[in-house]
Amino acid sequence: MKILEVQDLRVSFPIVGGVFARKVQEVKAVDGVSFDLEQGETLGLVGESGCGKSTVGRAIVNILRPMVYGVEVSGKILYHHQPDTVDLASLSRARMRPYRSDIQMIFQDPYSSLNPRMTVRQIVEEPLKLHTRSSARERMERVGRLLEKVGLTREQAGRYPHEFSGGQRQRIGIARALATNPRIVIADEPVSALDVSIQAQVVNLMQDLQEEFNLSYLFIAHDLSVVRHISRRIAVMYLGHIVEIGPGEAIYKNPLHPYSRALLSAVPRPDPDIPHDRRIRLSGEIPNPLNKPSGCAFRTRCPIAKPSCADEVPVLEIKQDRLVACPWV
Amino acid sequence: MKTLPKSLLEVRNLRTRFQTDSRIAHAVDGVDFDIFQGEVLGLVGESGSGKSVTALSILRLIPDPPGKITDGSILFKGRDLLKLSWEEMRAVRGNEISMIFQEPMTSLNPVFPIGMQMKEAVLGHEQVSGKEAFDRSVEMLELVGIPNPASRMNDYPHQFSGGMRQRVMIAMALSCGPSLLIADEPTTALDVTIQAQILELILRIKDQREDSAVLLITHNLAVVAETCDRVIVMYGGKIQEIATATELFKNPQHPYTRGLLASLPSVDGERLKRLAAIPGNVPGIFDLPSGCKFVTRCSERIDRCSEEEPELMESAPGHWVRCHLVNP
Repeated sequence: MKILEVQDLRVSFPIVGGVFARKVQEVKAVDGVSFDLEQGETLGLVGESGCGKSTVGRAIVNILRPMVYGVEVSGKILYHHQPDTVDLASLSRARMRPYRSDIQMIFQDPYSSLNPRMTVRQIVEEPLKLHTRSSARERMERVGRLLEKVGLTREQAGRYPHEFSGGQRQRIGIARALATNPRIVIADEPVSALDVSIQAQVVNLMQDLQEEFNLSYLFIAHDLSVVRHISRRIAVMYLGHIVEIGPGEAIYKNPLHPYSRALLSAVPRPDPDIPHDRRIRLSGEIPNPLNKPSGCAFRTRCPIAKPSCADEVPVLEIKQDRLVACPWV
Repeated sequence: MKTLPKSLLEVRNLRTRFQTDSRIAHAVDGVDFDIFQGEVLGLVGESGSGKSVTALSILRLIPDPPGKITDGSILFKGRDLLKLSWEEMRAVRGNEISMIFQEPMTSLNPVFPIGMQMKEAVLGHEQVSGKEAFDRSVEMLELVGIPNPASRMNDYPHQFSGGMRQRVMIAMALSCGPSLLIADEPTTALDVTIQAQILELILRIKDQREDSAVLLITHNLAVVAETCDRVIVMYGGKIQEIATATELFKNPQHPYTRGLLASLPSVDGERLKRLAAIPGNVPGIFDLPSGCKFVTRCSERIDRCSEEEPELMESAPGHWVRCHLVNP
């Protein structure tokens, strides 16, 4: 069952200049992105910095407008909550509020995403105060249960974030996200700031919670091995576009889009015997999103680019078991 | 018979501690290792393992106070770096031992063009004219793959992308032809496709000089597997395991190393239902346990582990492990 449908999402940020701070240019951070999220599944959203993956996540929770003055968001973000369907992208902040408890976010940096002046109890309790009508006693009980769920203890509720390690802080962030019984969790690089030996703990915890509460995850990350482990389906982004989307295992075994191929081949493997020449070397750097190449955004670095790639932006087409935005594969 | 590799740097019993008002942390607590000529040595560990402090101690860049190197020796080309005067040490840094850091934005001065900063690095160490320093800088930028280097000499750091800035740092680190390059998490802030390019670049340094070596500090075991000849695994300020890369990944001995390798999700292999996580938290350097530093998280611990710290012992030729179970 589909729980979320993103259709032709476009987000552009203004570049202001001059004494009157007028908009002089715009960055199309997300440039026509469409995908579905099923109930209880994990969709991995991968890509390099600047590809727009975090912006997609923020657009879904509808926090871009208060974050950036003059940002333009278009397209549809359909949230199916039985029996209705609502387009989150069209809602004002006030009208978004009833849905906010259903869609929560876990952030990358457990150091800056928890208020250092609040105790763990206050941090986890805050969404309950905002979104539920519950007594103080009920909230206390719920906070205690949540902390236990994420592998902390009730006794730790009175402490402040600085008393915890990075992995424990991320657990607090997860408890806060789960406080309102969400159905969808947007996890933006949830383990990349953690130590290697702690990452596996948090990944396991997220999987356990998904199973228990039938959560749908949009798992945004640049670490391709973690994404493969947790995701059922994968979407690969490059400069604001999805270039390939489909079943995770199939894409990892046999990536079709030339960018997915290069990206996967560049991931270092923890095995000294794997030869280095397997890498597809991409020349150059990711182009400046301010002046994206015409046509296919990847053509300037693509090993199989043809002159006609400059003419048209390739659309996602069905290839085998997935969608690929390249006419040459 | 194979000739024995020659040591470029010998670290013996290095101890570096940090002191606050009330507490002392032994960030590096008795570390011994060699860096051989012509090798890439990996130094792996998590936050607080002491890997970066080890590197900064070699260059004597530990802020004092609160830090202090309290014991040990660091022999480099017959001289003990810990006994050199400040001026002598300055001549070693950049000239013979260079370092590149994780964040290329904070390592470059944002208010000066990169050409000026590169020339300064050359002029600070060698008696050459400004013109020669300029030419050398352009040459180095070209070597690390910056397009049209001469035209970019007047650009400021913010006009370069993250990967390009790291290239500038590498060019600067190599401009005086050092024999030891210390790279502290050089690719952690970079994207994977750029990471691959930068690692290849760092490895090319060895082609410049036969007797040179690289000390690569990282938390990423996959990066180590791809680039290093030998690996040191640190935890809690101590070396827990040393082995060749091939041996370490095929035959890891220390429970910590085995745990780390088992916890990595794979890109090509079988997709597991659950990851094998190491329980517990990385202990802070102020709260290290007595006995084995890994005892609080080790699933195979025996009583002796919390009473007595194991010694680092050679369990197979060239393979050193600090564990009671491996070396009873």
